[in-house]
Amino acid sequence: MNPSWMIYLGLALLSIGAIGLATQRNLIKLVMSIELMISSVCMISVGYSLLNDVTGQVLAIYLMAIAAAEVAVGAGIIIAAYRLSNTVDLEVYGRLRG
Amino acid sequence: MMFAEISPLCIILPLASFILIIALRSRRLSPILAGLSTLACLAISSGTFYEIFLSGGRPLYITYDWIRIGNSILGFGLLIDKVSSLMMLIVSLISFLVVVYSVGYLHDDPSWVRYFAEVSLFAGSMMGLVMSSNLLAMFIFWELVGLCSYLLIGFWLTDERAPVASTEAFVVTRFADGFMMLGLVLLYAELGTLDMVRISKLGAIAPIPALLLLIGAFGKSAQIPFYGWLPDAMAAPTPISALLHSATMVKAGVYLVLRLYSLDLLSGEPMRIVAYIGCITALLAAIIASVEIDVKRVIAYSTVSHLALMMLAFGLGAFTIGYLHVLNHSIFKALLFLCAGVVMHTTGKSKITEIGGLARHSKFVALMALFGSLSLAGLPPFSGFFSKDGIFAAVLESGDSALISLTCFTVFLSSFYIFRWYFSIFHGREKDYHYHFIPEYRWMLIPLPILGILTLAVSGFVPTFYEAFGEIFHFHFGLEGAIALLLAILGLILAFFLYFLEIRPFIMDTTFWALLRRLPERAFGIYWLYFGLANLTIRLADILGTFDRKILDGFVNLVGNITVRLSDSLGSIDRSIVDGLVNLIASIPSRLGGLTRRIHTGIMLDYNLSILAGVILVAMVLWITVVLAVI
Repeated sequence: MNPSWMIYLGLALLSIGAIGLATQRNLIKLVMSIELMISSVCMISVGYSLLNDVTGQVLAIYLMAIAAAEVAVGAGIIIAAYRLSNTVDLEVYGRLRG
Repeated sequence: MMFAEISPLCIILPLASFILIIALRSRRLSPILAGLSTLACLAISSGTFYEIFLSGGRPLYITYDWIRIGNSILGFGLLIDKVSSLMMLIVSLISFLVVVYSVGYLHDDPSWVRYFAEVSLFAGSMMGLVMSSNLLAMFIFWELVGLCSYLLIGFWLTDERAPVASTEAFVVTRFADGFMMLGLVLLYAELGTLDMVRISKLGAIAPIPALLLLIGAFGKSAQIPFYGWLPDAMAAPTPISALLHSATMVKAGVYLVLRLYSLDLLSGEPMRIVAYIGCITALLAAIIASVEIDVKRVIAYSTVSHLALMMLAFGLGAFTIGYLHVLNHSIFKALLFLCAGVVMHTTGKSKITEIGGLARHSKFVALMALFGSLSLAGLPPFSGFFSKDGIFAAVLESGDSALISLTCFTVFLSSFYIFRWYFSIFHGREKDYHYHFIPEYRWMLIPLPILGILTLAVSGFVPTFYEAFGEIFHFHFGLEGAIALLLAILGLILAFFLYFLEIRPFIMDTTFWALLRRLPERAFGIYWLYFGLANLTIRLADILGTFDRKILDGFVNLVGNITVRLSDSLGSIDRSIVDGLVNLIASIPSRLGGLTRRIHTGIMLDYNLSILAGVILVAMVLWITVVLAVI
């Protein structure tokens, strides 16, 4: 199995996630983009592990655990934010403006 | 020594009654309280009089320290001896009779409660004045009776004359009291005590403080140059004129001289002045009384004249006879004033020329007024005869021809003016007035017979009086008695022709006579003197005020302005330089923050983009580094 397509797929997913992060205004979509980027990193590391050893695959498992934790935290923040202002649109959260 | 020991109650009871009347404000209780307190005073005074004066008991002398400042002690004390016990009896008797009289006199007055309160205050203060052994305590009571005089002269607040007269009386007597206070200060500085008994152990008072004290006495007793206030004080209700302005309060000045004299505190030189002032005042006041036409002012001037006669007697050293005249004058003058009150109430007139023939309506009042007039004129067997005769004898004894001639004239005039007054009111042609007597006026008739009988009864008391002061009364009707009696009878006869028979000699209708009358009618220019002095004082105050405003205030304002200007300039330095530096330093971080704050847009997408851009940048740098390393 040629690992190169896995790496390309991973890069493509990473790009999609980055573009999503830069363009989307929905908090849920942002979290999803971050998830997508973490998953793409997982895919790339698994792809590279096929060329050498299993370190990449172990890393992927760790990353999935971190991603799960990150989702839990992200979802919590979103719910809290939703309760605060009744919306998940990013435009509303401009309070950090200096 | 039973009554003498409780005699301080004579001060306390009327003052307590004053407070109670003010507190209760009861129309029914006020006269009862005032009457009871003065009656109690009368009882205690009579007992004291019996013990000390008649039975020759030991004088009561109480003294204690009142104020201590360092080594200086101001004391407070009572001295009840023969002099003060008789005066206490006079004061309490007249006070009680006047309270009874006032019930009728003021029966429909709205300020009835205030009246009895003030009378009670007066009775207590006057008792205090009489009993004090300390000159300072005496001065305090002296001022209190002055206050009562002021309040009671101005009793009818809405009257035209009363407020002016009360202010005049207050200012004139206060002016004299200023000298008295100066005298007290000098005396205290010199001797270190104001207790008369203690001073008497050190000898007589030096002439200057004695003179200053005497000026106070002249003010209170309306002697030259202070006599103007007393006739104006007749704006007071008539019982007040009887109580304060003839029988008791104006006697305070005479009493002060008497008190000092009885303790041998006055030396020869001041007494000469007292004699001359008294002699001249007696004549002037008698002349004014002879032309005055107001019912009360005639007897007011007569009061001035008689007070002056007492001063004259003291000035000549005739202590006992002067004191006898104090007693007699209190009785007959109170009687005359109370009669005048009845006359004015029943006729509604206040000028003697408007009444006439009143004896036809009220024989009783006429008889009582006749008793008073006979006693005043000094005709036997009335008590006035003994004292007036005695004063005349003392003047003759002095051998001073000026005093003798002036006193002869005074004796003649005093008989003339009082019968002019008596005949004009009670006899002669009846003028246009309406006589009305209402039942309430009966109260006013009660005191009259008591005083009327006393004018006769005191004659029998004269030998006892002399005996009490260690002198023997030996009545001999000599030359001086004959002269005094002759002069008095001459005055009576002249008044009888002019005002009883109403024979009017042509000279009284001439311009010359009118011109002659003008001087005494204007009280010998005493008011001109008062107003002149008052205007002078106001001018002086104006000038001093201008000086104060322009120069003293100007200097203060200048200093103030300089300080304000100086602080203004210092303030601007502080604001521009010191504060400017602080603000400059503070503004640097603020400016920097303003520059950098624009990065924080608050939009999360911008942050995301910048993170991505950062990552891409790092990646490119790494990539270039790797490529360069490979090459």
